[in-house]
Amino acid sequence: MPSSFPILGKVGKRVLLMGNEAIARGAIEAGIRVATAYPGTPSTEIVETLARVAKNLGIHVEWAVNEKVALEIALGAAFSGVRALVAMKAPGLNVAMDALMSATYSGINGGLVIIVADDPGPHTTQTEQDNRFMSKVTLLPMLEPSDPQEAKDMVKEAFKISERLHLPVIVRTTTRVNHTSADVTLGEIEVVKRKPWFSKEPSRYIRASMAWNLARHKWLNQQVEKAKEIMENLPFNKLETRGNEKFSVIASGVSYNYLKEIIKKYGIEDVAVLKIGAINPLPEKLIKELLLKVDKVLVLEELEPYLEFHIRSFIAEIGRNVEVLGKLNDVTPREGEFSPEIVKSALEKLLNKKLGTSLEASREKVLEDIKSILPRRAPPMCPGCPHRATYLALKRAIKRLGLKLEEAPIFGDIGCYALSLQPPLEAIWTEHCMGASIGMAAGLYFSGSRQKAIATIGDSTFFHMGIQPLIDAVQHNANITVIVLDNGTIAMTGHQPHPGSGETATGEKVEPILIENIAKAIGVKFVKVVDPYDLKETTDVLVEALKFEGVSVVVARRLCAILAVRRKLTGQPCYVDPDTCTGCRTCILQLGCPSLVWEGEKTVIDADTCTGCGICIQVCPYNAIKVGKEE
Amino acid sequence: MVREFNLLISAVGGQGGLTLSRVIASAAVKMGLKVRVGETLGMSQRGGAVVSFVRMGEDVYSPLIPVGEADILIGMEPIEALRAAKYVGSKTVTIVNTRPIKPVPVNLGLEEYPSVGKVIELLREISGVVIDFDAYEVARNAGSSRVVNSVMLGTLTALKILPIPRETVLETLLENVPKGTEEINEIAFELGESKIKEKHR
Repeated sequence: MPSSFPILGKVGKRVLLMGNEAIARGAIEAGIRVATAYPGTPSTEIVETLARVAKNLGIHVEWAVNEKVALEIALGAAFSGVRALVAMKAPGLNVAMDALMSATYSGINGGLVIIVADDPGPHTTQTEQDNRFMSKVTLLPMLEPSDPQEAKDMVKEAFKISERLHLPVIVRTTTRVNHTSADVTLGEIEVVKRKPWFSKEPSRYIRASMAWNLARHKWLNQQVEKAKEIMENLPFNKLETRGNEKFSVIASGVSYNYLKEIIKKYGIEDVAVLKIGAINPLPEKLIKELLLKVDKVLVLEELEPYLEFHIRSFIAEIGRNVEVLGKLNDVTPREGEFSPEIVKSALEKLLNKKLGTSLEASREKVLEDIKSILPRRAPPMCPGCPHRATYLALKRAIKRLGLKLEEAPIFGDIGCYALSLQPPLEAIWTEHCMGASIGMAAGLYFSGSRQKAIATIGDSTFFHMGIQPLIDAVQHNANITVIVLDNGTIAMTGHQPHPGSGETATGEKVEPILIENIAKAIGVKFVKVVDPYDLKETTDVLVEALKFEGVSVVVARRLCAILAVRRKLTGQPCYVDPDTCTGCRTCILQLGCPSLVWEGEKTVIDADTCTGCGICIQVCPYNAIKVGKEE
Repeated sequence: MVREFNLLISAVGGQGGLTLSRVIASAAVKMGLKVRVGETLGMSQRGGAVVSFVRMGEDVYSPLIPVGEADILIGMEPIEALRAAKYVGSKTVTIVNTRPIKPVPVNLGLEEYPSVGKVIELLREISGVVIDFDAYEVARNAGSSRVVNSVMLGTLTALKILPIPRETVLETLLENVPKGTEEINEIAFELGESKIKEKHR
């Protein structure tokens, strides 16, 4: 079988791999035994790739319920002496931090590598959190690759470093590495044969004794000292110099690639380049060696001036006058991701000369004209999305109770349903972090506000971090309504299974854990399950729930429309009878389904994308929409 | 030796733009070329705007194409082609599908979809060559509206500017499409090719 998985290819083979697949291959080459994650863009494909080949390799791969649990599972495995990997998106590290901090004192036995995928841009993340600074909070070694090949090699090396230091090692990536595909040369798959066994050693693994904690803090700092030597000599730091340049660039991550390309394209020769792969501890000697020779240094790093802060302090230590160009003097931006153009312009400032020609004014004008006529295309909720129907029913229920939409806060959460922020639904008022909707709704009630507080949360988000705030709300008798939008999958990140899906990452069938059973067990007195495709019933139940005094939970259950299409569970598409359609546009104005296309006078349904969900049939005031073949 | 070849695919999520970039990049790897593919995958299957940068050659390091440096633009939808305008320059060959997919705000009457004629005119102003046709109609003729990407790949291949031979492109395409759809995709590819042959006749 292995031949059908490029990821299991033989040593020396060159294959096209996405950064995340390359990271997975690095872990395979290191002989991991356990891999866990909670899905999160741009990190998802790491564990997704490993899940596909888990059976071939005989390893345990799982989607954990959240990042903290994922880390704890990997940690438990690493205590036993086997190698383990855990991956997460940037905010996932915040969730896992509690577990990580204690892990720095206990240390590990088998290598433990933590992949943290930051998102300069941001492309798909709530903040542009720069997790390089987390290496200073945890004191843990951190590496950062600049392309897929290096990501693979670095992950493999990170396991060795982890075992040499007995510490977890963080590999910090960014979207432009995770989601870049490139030709990658495969390395040897190590055969790591270990008998997993956990030996009792209370002073390491128990944090109840303050004396032990103090001792382990000292141990951790000793390990950091050892890490300095290791980091100094890593091949991922590269000094490219002829020894006599006055100008230099220090770059890390994807910025290094933008730089390399520009240097080659414009034949720039008089610049020394230091590429940094070791983020913590930094290769201080190597950096100082460069700073002793040059007069001017440009620092290329996305987001915060992490390298720049250190470089400025190194310059102070060596007592030389080296001019620094970076973020603190606005040479590069602190927000957003870099581009070849940003790097080129920074390089022009370093060299004090123009590289190539800039855009002609006439062309700029055309580009401006184009921008002004382009309609936006934000991702809409999909055709047939059950969440669209749930939010429409909710808005109708609010109005039926005589409340004004602009006075009834709908707290949102993380997932596809956040797309309900767009017209025409414009439903959610907030979207902060996993599980926040329920706690914030309760908080609004406790504030004394007389608004009806409503929390809307996805199924997987509920399992991730929604159960604890629900317990809190019940204990303190908050008068809130919680709607769980249950589409049976983690849809946003590409349909990974969760505890309610009835299967695991590797395809094992398991008993689904039902959200309504959890709510009942917690003590919620109003718990009902509805099918959002039945707009009337859903609206009626939501009215009841909103009227209920205390915590009410409504589970709106219907399979994600993308999965329904894939599993061939959808019916025939709908069509609009042009003789009956009055052109009132109610269907479009209420639903905004992408399959409902306005053709100037009437609505037409795009049969290529319509899933036949039938919500628009229930919305049309003139019964002009029908299911099946046009008569 | 290929030094730098930049291809940009601009599409609506669900049109198969990502499959197309995967096919071209895999074919390039088979040719022994150095390859970089930059993608914004965010919510790609959900009808948002999706852009892929496929780059090949010895001088390529960055996953992003520098502004104005695209050799090829494959615009799978008219306004999405236009959205990629800043990467287009006088050397760019643009292949654009003229069948619009209206974004929701347009159907709601909140925004306006420009006329396709205007879109093509603007593309001609900024791009060296523009080849425009209704690839959706061609795909339907091949047997499925879902193979617009294979139609456009055929057209691209027939131009003979890709540093990869036809056989390798077609073979890689057929390796990457869902099982059972190989025939439809091959027909789509050939119909796409014939769009160029027609013009040269």
